[in-house]
Amino acid sequence: MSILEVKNLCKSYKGFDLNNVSFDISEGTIMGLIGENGAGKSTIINIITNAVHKDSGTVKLFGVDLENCNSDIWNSIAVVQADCGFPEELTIKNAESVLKGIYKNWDSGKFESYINKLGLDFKKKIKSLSTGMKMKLELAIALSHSAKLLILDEATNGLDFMARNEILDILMDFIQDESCGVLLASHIIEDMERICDYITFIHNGNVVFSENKDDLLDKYAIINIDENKLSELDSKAVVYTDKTQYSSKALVYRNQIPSGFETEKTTIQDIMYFYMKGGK
Amino acid sequence: MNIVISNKDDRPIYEQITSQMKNMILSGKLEEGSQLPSIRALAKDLRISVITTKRAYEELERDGFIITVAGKGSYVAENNSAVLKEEKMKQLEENVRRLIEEAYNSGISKKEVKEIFDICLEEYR
Repeated sequence: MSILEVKNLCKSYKGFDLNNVSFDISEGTIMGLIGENGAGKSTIINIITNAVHKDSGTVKLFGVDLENCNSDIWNSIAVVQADCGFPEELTIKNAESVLKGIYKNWDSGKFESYINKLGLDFKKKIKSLSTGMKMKLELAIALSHSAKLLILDEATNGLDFMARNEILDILMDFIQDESCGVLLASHIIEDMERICDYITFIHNGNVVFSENKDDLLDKYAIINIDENKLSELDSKAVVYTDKTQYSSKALVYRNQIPSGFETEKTTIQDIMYFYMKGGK
Repeated sequence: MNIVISNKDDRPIYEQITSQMKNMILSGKLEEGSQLPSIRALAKDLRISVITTKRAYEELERDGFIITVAGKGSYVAENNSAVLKEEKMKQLEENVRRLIEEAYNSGISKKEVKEIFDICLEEYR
């Protein structure tokens, strides 16, 4: 079953259109939603979380149309953003008592264990927390009310390597339960790309692709050659070329490159870069 | 069991896993019948996608190295000597191919390659 199903989603703002966006998150998987700032990621998340109304299309959460979702479904979704909206003067302990009232599935034991595991302190005030700590607090909260769908909206930006790794571990822990899923939205996924099962790439409000990540990495490769040699390649084999004064680099279809050309493994970040640069 | 995932390795991650596991099974480091970590546990441990480990296990199963019992997990297949021998032959063939290519690139003739090969074979006996 799909945890989240987005189909032909459209939304128009002045100067921005979200066009027929479709993607799916199946149980037990992690979806990376990538695209540059302003590509439409946040609009999609706002529609999914019912903060913004869509113009057309359908969104289903755990098989239920967005319009028919009850509080049980809303309770099983957690959105983690870089900035938690708590009043600065509250301590983590105070914040927990507020949360207990909001979520009926609140698990104090679980929350405490995450707070300890993540190196947070109940007595600390929200205002004294660093960006990374706030993010970890958000994550601890999300994981303590039995959420089944975790949405991370640009949540790992600006976190240091250690914190990112801790978060990777938590996310992997989370999907050990096959009924859970993760939507990881970011303009920069770096090391997070490794744990993504699927990637949806949004560019100017359109889905460029929504595919199995391993298939994408199999399909594309990077080639570093001089321009003359590049022209020997079938133009159908070359997706995009990036030429600077002294070098040429191209994104190519791996299976259309004749032997004798040395190809390099690509990353999702590379693919995104070439698509955004565009132009052959 | 120890699996190394390298970014420098040009092979896709699932292939890095299958080749290392095959070697561990062929060398007996992973004994027949022993249980493998679950797809999700391995993905967590290696910090990689679940789909990637799933694909690795599927290929190992297809090639007869492991078996998966629904609801129980995956195990190293009972010693199927024919499968193991075939895999070893395949590896040998690849190695020989590489040697021939190396010889060809250095201008060593077919006849000379054969001679060297025969000498080494004799010595080994």
